[in-house]
Amino acid sequence: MTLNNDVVRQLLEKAGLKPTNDQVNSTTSVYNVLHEQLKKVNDSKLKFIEPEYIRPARRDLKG
Amino acid sequence: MSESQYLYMTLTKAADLIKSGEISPVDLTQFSLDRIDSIDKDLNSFITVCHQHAISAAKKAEDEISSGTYRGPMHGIPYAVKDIYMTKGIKTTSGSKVFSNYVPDHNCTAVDNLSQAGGILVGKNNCFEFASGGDDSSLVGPCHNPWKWGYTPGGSSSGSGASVAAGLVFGSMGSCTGGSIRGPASHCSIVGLKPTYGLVSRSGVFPLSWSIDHAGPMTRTVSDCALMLQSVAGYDSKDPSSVDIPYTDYYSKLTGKINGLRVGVLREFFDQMPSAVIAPITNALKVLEKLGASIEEINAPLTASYSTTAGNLITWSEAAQIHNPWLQKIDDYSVGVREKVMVGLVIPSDQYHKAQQMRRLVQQELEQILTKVDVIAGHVTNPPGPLQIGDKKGTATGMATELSGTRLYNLTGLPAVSVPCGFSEDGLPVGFQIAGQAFADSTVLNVAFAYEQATKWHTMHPEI
Repeated sequence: MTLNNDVVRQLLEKAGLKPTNDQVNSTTSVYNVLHEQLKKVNDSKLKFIEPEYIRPARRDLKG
Repeated sequence: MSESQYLYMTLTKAADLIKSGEISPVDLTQFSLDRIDSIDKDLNSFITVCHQHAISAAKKAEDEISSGTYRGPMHGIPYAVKDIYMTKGIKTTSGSKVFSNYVPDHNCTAVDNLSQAGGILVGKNNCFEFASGGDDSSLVGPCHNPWKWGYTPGGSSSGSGASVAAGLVFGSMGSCTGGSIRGPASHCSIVGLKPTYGLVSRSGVFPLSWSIDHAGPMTRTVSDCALMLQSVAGYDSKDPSSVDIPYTDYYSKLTGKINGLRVGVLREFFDQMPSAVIAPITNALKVLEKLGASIEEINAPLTASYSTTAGNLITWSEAAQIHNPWLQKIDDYSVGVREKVMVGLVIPSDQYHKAQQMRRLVQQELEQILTKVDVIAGHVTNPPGPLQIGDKKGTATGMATELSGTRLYNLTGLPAVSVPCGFSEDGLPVGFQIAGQAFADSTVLNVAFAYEQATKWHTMHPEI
């Protein structure tokens, strides 16, 4: 979901910060760039895809 | 041997001369310290220089070697580490005001391993704050590029790249979450290896993103890189990502023979390559062809579409949790790091996991590609060369939209090296990147070695 400045401010304050207006604006702006990029991802491609975390550590996949 | 002959000597040659008793670890270390003292006030590649510690370690190495106990190629070699590597009793700032007086009570595993190998730690390198790429902010101010004053050496391992390129040390350990080893290596015309994820312990290295961080060597030549890697690679139970694989002698695998090697070039990345580096990279590919390799263009649509978004979402989400204990000091952070941590704090968990799914698709795509070719080659970073100090193109906003030439290998954990391949039209160094299958670090290094030995770039040094 797209976030607005009010929601971003609440989230940052909930994390214990006291953000300035510039910090809220910048956070909202960057977050929404990422969100727009995510919207373009075809979710059907991700169905049944197990997320990637620290794969090479799995013994069966080592070199 | 005169001290001037130590300047730009390779680690490999210095190791041979130390082993044969032709040069003294104490003299070599004193040379390194003297050069740091004379140049680094301006270059700013070190945050801390350990004069006493280094001389004491060098005397110990000299005594051991003269009494017949030779530990291997790092024995008596002056090296440095990025200042996010914990060092017992030596200040470790992470380039941040928040840790300006932090003195760890333990060494990170990499420093323990290098000490065990007889290496001489001469100091802690300057770096972008908390190893966060893009923004050259640091507790002690930015480091300069020895090739061009007023320009950054790239980051976040800025001081590591600059100090090795300027001949202050024989190697340095950097860290890499999105390109922080290969970027400075490229911008400083040195060799930088991001090893396979799990090969080199990150225990005791201040994290930026647990699932993407790597630690690796930065040196002036490929053989130097292989020797340093040999001293730090290996299983470490203190690093949950560490993988227990048999010991590999990376140095002895540098044959320089690549006849029949299949080299892939990712079309989407090649097409977006900055114009200033097209000639050096194209020429580098031709060199590989002359050496007997075949070049094949390959499509990697998911990697090109997903790696930037997934990389940023994962890195900033994990960074927000990593920095949680210090959020009350967020006003002491540089703007660039603070911005990324704040974005990480508002990213919902479903988006983090979606990014990890996207990462898996990137992994699958590159794995598939690496069944058709042995290595993937291309450029290192956008922008093409070092930015001017203070340029803010690497802020979160800039990084959110840039297709990085390096990040795909951080996301997938695959080994990737940058080797010098010339200069752009404006006279700034350019790096040639070679990546390979997981744990095929020796293959990647061997291709880099073959290229290096067929060219002259590694023999050129900044006039400083």
